[in-house]
Amino acid sequence: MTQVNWETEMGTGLDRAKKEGKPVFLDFFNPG
Amino acid sequence: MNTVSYSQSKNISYINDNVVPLQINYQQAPYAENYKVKWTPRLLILDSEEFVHHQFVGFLQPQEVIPFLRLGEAKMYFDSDEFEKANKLLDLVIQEAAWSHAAPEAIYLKGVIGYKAGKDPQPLRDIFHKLQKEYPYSSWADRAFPYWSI
Repeated sequence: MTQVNWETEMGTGLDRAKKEGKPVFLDFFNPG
Repeated sequence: MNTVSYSQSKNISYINDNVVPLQINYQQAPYAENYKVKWTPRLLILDSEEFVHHQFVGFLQPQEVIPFLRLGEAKMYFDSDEFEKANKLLDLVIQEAAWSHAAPEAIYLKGVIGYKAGKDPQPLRDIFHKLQKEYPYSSWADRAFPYWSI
């Protein structure tokens, strides 16, 4: 793995968290 | 964060394997308002119901990423009374990242879980002594202060 596989939609992230039994790591970022 | 803390292979593997990574622009509606995002980086650990269990504002050094994530996941389990799962993660923070910012809070939470499990105040007294000895300037040492006398 060469990079973090970020989700970019809240709904997709929450769905994955439920299916995979994992927490969501949410990063609010400033693209500069 | 992308070019420093998220670029290290150990952090990339841990993030991809153990959490659902989600990056959202700090100005994106409705989340910017819902989460009151006023400064970045702003990092949160959520459960699948979007409940916040842990958060951090500011730059997270590369070596702090995994301890932060482990503590956040442990707090998610703590909040749902899954103490065994929480304890396993807290032990990893305490044993493998005693130097991290997450460690004093992990010690505190582990003592609270010990108390809840047996209704015995000894684990609370233990965390008071451990935090006073190893992290005397941590806010968590202050938070455990009342436990010296129970």
